[in-house]
Amino acid sequence: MKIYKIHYLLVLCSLLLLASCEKDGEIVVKNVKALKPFELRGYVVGDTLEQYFDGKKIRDYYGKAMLGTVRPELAFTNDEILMQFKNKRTKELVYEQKFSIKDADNVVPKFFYDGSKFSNKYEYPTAQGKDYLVNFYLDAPKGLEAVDIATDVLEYYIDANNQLVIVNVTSFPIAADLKPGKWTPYYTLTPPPTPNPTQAGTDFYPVITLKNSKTKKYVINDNAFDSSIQMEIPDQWTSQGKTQSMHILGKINSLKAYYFEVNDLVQY
Amino acid sequence: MHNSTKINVIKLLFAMTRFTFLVTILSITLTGVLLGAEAKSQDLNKVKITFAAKNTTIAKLFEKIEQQTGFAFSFAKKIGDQSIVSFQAKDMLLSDILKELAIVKRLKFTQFDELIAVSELPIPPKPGRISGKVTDDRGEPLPGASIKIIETGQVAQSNTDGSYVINLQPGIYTLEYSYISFQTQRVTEVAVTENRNTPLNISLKTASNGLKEIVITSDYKKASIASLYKLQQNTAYLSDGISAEQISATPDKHVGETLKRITGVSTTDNRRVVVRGIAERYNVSLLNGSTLPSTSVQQRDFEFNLIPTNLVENIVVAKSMTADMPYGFAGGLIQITTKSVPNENFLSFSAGTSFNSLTTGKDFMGYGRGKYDYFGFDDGERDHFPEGIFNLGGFDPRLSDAQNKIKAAQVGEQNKRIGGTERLGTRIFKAMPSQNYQVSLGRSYALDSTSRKRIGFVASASYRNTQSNDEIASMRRGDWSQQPVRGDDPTDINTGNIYGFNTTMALLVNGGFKTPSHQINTYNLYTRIFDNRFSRITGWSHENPKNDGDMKFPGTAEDDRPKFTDLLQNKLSSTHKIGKIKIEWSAARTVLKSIEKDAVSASINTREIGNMAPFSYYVPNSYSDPGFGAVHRDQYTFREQNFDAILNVSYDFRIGSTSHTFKTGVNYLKKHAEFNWGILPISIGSKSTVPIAQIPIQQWGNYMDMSGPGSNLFYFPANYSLNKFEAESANKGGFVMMDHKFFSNLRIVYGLRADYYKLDTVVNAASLLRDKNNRLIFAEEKDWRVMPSANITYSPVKELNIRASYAKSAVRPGMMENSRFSRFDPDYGSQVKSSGVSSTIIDNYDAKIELFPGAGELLSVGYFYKYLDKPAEFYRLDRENNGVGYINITNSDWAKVKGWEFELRKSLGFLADKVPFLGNVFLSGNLTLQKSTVRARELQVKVLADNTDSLYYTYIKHPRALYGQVPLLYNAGLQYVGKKLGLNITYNHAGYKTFITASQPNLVEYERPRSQFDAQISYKFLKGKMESRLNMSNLLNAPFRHFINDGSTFDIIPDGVGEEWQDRYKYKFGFTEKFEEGYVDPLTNRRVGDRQSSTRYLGTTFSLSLTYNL
Repeated sequence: MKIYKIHYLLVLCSLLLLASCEKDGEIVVKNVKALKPFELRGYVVGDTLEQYFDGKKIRDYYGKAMLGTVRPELAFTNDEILMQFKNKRTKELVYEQKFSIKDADNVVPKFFYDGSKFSNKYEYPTAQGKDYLVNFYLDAPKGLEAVDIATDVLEYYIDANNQLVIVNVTSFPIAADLKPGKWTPYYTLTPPPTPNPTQAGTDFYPVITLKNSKTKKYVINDNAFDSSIQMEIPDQWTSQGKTQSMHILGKINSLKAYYFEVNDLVQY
Repeated sequence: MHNSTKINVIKLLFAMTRFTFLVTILSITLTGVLLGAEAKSQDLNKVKITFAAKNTTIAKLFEKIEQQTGFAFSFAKKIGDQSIVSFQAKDMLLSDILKELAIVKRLKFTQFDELIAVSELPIPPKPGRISGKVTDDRGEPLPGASIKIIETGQVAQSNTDGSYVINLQPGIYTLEYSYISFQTQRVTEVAVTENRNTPLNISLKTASNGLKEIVITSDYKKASIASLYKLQQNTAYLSDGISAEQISATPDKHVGETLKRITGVSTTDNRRVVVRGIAERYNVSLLNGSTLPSTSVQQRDFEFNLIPTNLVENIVVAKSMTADMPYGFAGGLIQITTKSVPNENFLSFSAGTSFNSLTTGKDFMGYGRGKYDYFGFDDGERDHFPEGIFNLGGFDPRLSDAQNKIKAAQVGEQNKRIGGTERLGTRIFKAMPSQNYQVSLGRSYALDSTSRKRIGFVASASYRNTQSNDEIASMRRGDWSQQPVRGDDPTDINTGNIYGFNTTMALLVNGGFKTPSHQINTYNLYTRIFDNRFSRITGWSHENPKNDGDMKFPGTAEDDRPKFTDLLQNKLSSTHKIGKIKIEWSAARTVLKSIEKDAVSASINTREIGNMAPFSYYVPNSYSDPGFGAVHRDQYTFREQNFDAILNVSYDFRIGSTSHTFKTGVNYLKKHAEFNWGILPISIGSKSTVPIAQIPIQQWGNYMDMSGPGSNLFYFPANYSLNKFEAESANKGGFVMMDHKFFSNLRIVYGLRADYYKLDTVVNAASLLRDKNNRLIFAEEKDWRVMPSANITYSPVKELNIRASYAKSAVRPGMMENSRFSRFDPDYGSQVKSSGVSSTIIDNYDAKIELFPGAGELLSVGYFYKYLDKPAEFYRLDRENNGVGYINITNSDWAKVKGWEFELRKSLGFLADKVPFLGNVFLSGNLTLQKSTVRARELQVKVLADNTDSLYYTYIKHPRALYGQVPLLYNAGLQYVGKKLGLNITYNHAGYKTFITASQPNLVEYERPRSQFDAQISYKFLKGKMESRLNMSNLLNAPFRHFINDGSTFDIIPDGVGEEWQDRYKYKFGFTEKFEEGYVDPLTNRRVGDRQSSTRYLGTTFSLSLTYNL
């Protein structure tokens, strides 16, 4: 009887011991059936697009939608992958596409999204004659409520330290009090006249600049050159017209300084 | 799962209760004696009955008797319900039947004519025992001392060795100890319980006032704790200790946890012990008087978690030396004594389980497990080192077979023999509660009527499985990125876990034989440990910090170390007393064998792909990597065999009223260590088309036949990857020592020890290509050393000891400390290597005042000063100037350490008149304060004009803590010990500590203060036979936190060439040995101030144990 009870106790202990034995766990780095090439290119303004794969959100797109440092491949853990774009604000499904492991390439057709419409082509008016048409979409950093845009002709020289020194600025306004978050109408740019030099040894350099509408100061370092955006300006030799749709995206770099990423959607 | 555990516990409790009941019944059955009155009627002796009964009750049996006779039985239902398995009577007299029933069922039959009244007999109590030793106040035995039991008048006398045993019925007694010219001592409230022994050692004080009788009275509790303090008071050297009783009042499971409760002792990871702020390598551990081998291959230390506390009789840490101590130390000599011949017979079972707040029920990661991991054995899945693995030195996977000496097919065949990679790669398991079981048995037999000759043994078998998860909240050490790229990026951190899976089985069999003049003991310990430490850290490296491109997502470094260790120690020791001569000898053999089977390091790379951010995959090594590489599977086998023997002879003599002892002896310790390593980097051939990113690591083995670029993964051992270290050392010595006891208050012990040490490295290969041409510098100057020592103890009054001592000692390097083997340690995030370690010679000066205000009470103050010549320390060196470096063990030039120690243990009994409860409350505490200065040195090489190398040292002095030193250390405890309920609260605080030292400030790593708060509740029930204990350890979940004074906290003084630290470095904000949080500089967006190099949480552990004593 005594022995029987000891056995009972031992069995109880062994049960706890054996219950603990777990030999096969769940593998963390899962098997991948295939890695296949993947391509994606598009542009997003107005609202952010969320990209989902098989129901899992992977990343956001705003501005240029491209793979960049992302390796252009898809990892198939199943035979199919479902990709979806959703509007980040409304969670509305904007676009979806299935990829199959059987396909050699997986390409998302080039797309444009303006916050409401998802299309494969960016539509813009064709410039007539020598006209330079341009519209702007500003995504300003916080604190910048409106900007004035102008063609500024900088009179400058390069000093002994290879620094650009601006001696005079002649401004030709394009648009004033431009609010962020919407496209402006198309403006026609004209070639800026070349002013007379104010001192010897200088050159002229026309740029499109941004000024804070409220303070009338250039938005970055109150410097015309730092606050200029990259775009084409017609000159007296221009023979063919052109349309530009400039998305000006204000960003903050690692040193917490403003800078502007500027893209021409017509060229994209 | 939680519920199922609860059910298990309830079932266990139920089983235990049932078990007690059954055992009680069985003991009644087996030991019952008929004491009942005989049946008085003559008829009972005439009436004969025949019947047979099976599986019946007493009531039914009586019914059968009533049917065949004219008798009627009267009995209680409880008696009638008692079961009878079988009973047969054939023409049997009724009186005989009743006699048998009376014996078997412990019944009493009383006849009233034809009515027989049946009643139960009371259970006669089994006697218990009081045993112990009577000594004088210098620890010498008092033979023939008289021990009187006041309540019974019984008198016993002690044996020649002062020991005594008195058998008594259970009860509470008062004992009176007396001896001519000594004060009589009375001990009250000595509880004797059935069949158990009550230990009671007594030290009598010399009567200083002639024949006037003084009786000192104390209670049992005070007297028994006082015995340990008395031992401490009587030793010639300075010591501190902890008794089995004190250990049982703590939540500690193994010795590593207990050590930190002793004054001046702290532990690293509960495994390595620091005594008086001096690191583990300066402390010697003795198990029953024999040295313990180092369980760590690259360091001289011993993992004390191998020894469960319930096998421990006591632990004494000696802090000063006498010439008869065979092994040199600087910090302390840790003497662990396990139980041997018991004073009582016992059989006990215990079972326990514990839950950790960070572990139990949570995800628990690890590589593939074996079927028998819970039993501490491998099932063969980790066997990947077949005989005859050849190195691939000279094999170039870019060349064709015609150009290679080793052909691709041979490599493929070897890969096949080594086996596949199925076990590799992390899995997620669920962490189970820890569990432990133990059974202990002790037997003692008297060989003569006076119990002076006894033989006995203690045996214990224990099993423990512990699963732990250390949460690494931050890792910025070694190869890991040292700070976030952007100070304001909270995601740029390195974090991870260390998962520990430990199964320990221990078997201890000690036995002994003793007579009044001779004693012989044998100690045998076998321990089997399976310890699997899996560390997994995710983050960015110092070399490749976070960026928005290819290093957007962190990588992961994994390190799996399944280690199976066997430790076997057999020892025979003996003491003989022939007249005034005492001979002690012992011989021991200790074998430690540990094998790390299929230890794997692997790296997981990440990249962002279209549908995964991140996409993770294991990466093999480039075939051109000459090191261990990113992924390798290894086997490390370490075997150390020690033989030690000691022979001491002492002679006692008296001159007038003074007593003296002359002692001499020799000792011999031979060690042999062999460490074999096999490292198998998994490499990928050139122009490989193996789709490494999409095949899981478990399937890599399918791509190893070397048939072409589509299958060219291979194990790539170089000649230095399969090699070994082998060494043997001999340590022998002899001593002469005088011990003078002048009168009753002055003791002077002095002696001279000659010590020989020689280390021979038989094979000492390097494990890295770049170390192959490196030499180790052996600076051992001489083999023989003569070391004097002296101790003086003066007691101006009985309760006061004043001690002073001086000793020179030599701490010898560990076997592997001179190995050229080096390995990446995930804890340090770096390689750990040695550049040659020589003996450290230490001058030790100690002074201490001890006050023993009452039994079990102690107040002491001590001061010590040590000069260490060539102390070995762990340095971080950065010879390649990459800001990372590696860890190196080497000798500094010298160190001076001085410190104060305070200890208090006080009963609150003096308040008991007002609050009786306080009579059982003890307050204890100890405090250690230390300071040190170290002169570091760094070996330099100068090329002379004749193009030969010349070696010289550069020195830098700094009042910094010696490696491992804790400048501030204190413990505080409050203990209540009631008859059934016990409560214990302890608080342990360790101040700032130097974790890794260096010559450059930005490489020195400090540990921040840590305070641990533990509590324990115990309760005894079933008349004290069962004890339940609830332990709560690390209640505040105190983390281990380390930091480094970042380069931003100091400037290098141009042309600063002085020897002092401040001559070379100009301090700025944050440059102290204290931690300063720092800030993010808004201009640079970089952190300024101390870098938090590592933060690790262990969680709070709750453990419940039940112990049942038969």
